[in-house]
Amino acid sequence: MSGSLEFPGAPTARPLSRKIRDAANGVDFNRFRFWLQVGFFILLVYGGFAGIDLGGRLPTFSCVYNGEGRPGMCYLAPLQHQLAMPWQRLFGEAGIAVLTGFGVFFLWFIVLNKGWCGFVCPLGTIQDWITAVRRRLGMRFARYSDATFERLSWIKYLLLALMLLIPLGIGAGYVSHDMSAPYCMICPARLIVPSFAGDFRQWVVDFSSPSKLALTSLGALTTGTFLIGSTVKKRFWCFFCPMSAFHYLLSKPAAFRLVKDGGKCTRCGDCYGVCDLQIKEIADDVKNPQIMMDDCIVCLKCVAACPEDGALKATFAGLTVFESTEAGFIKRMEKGATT
Amino acid sequence: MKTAIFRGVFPTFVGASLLAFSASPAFARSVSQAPKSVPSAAAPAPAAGTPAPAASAPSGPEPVAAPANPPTVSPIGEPIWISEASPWEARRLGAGGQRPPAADHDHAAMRSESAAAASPNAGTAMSEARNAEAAAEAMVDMSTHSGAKTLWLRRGDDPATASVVKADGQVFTLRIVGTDGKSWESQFADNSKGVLQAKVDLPDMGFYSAYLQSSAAVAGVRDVTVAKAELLKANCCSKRDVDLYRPAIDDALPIELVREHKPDEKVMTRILSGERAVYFVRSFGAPVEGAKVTIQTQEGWRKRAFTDAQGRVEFTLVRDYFPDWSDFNRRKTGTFLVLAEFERPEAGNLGGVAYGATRYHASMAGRYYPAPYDYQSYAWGLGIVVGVLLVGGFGVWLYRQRRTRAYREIVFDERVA
Repeated sequence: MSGSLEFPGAPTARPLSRKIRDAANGVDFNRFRFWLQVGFFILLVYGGFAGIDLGGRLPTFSCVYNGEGRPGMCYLAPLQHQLAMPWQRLFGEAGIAVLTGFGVFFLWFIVLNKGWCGFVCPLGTIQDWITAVRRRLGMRFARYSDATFERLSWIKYLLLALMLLIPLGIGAGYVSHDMSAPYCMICPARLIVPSFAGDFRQWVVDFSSPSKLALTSLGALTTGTFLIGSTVKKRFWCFFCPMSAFHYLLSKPAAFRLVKDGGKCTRCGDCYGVCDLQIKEIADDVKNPQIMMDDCIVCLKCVAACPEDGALKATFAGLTVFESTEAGFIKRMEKGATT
Repeated sequence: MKTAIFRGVFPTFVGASLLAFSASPAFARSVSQAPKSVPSAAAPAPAAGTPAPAASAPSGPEPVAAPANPPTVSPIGEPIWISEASPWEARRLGAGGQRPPAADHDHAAMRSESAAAASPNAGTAMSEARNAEAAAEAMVDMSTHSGAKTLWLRRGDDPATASVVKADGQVFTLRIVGTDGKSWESQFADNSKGVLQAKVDLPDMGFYSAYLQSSAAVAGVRDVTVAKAELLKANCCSKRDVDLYRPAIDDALPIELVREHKPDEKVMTRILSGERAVYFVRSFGAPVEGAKVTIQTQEGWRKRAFTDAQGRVEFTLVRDYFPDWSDFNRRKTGTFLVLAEFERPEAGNLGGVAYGATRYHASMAGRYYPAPYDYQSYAWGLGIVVGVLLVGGFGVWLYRQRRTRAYREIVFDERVA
């Protein structure tokens, strides 16, 4: 018989994996997320200057209008252009290219699921920065009433439908080519993201045709709305983003997931309190383990704010990578880092 | 009215925005790239206005060897040039039929051929499109950057009226040179409609130059003509390979027109109305001073200049598109033609005809488009954003003020009641 002699009650050495897990669960999450977002922002806004090329099928707003700065393209831009092909081509040989492009997008997407929104998206990061400024200025933030929330939540699906149908109408010859990439034209990222690389060429209204005039005016309008909305409402634009809706429709097989153990939930409401998107189900639903809702951006702030061991967790391919713990909650509360 | 608004407000905004822009990465990039202009893989390029002679190119006034395919297109009289845009396409997207049509070709026959040649895939589906104008624009846009090129040989110094050269049983050899120095030949031949036409498939992304060289001696003067077309195969995803932006140059030619590529030129860069167009005249890779260069647009604007010691000549393309708003087409494509010529006292004998002097002629066509500042307004864009911020900000403030105002208790004086 061999082995070490153990005394009852004596502290036992924790295995390395446990140490790593405890360190991860007790991390200063907001700081970690902030720097991760900064890193992704630099990559997606300035990466092109370093010659990085991630392709044209990224599931996040690596804005196509950011010329040389972008290291890849937001998939919505090529998707809209492809769908605007004449139908004979789109439903012919070019359809293979469209499907291939979608496949590449999907492979990118399933890695992070909607974590692309919560951690990677440059426009989301900008909104978080505006929120940080607002907080420093002492301005209070706004929340939608339940009725308003319900009324507004379908807008992203409407935008997604229009984003797909208008290009198809172009391909069929019913809609003017000036309406190509309709969502890109009204997306605030078109004006804001290139500006961070010193390119202000999108801050214009195009009078060359009625369609262009309408779309570019709408783009300026949404950008103004984005700026004022983000100042008073956390993640204002994410609520209307068709990419978010697109993500949700594809999220079932994603590797990165937000999981809830309802049996451990006390419905204290901390998770709802920190949720930028006001998702009530995160606190109220104790039956469904797959708790990621369509508005969720998987920012994991709810996990960091949860005081119950294992009630909320983020998993990657079934492996837990970050979960709520009492120790982690207390540690973060002491630092005031949960909101 | 629209352009008046642009002109009034645009400079004001630009003046303010330039201050911010000058500190931006894009500004720094544009400055740092400036010395790298006009590179060449085939030969040192006329970068920043100074074309470097190629080491392998002959530099002396050697008589030009007759091409393998002896040309019969006379360089005397009206100039010969290569057109990537068919004449009817240029008129449809350009002058709008205001100028007289070309005289010696079959419009109807070639119109149908143009649609097929411009983009075979697009053409069939587009023919059923409801929006015919948009379909035509799309075809032209695609053909501009497609690797499958259809070229026409045209005669005359006015792009609007230059006729398409008839075949008359003739075949001319067209030589195509890439930026990597590789070259191959194609042919201008009868397109079955009695017109000379060449079809070229460009293998890789990037710029290519197509040359048609001819020579003839008449009345004691030898005329050497090099008609050139700059071809481009590109797509939006090829933007980062700087080799793609370089012009293809052949330093073995007795005369060549080279368009200076902008320092920040990309494969999707267009020549715009109101902007400068810079050309170099070179002979065997060396700059030619004092060459006469003429530019003419299809709207009839013409200007003449002479090259400097670097063989450089600069034109500011005229703004010649002022339609009503309802007629404005930002994809309106104009064609301009650049002609260069100089003479040297080179004597010799060509085909049994003695000559005492040699005149060199070069031609090169280009396309130009309306400039964005003719139809885009920063002031309106910024005005809308600022307006929304002001109105939205005031609305939020007002809303919050009303929500946070202290509750006023209503007190009834029961004694009064």
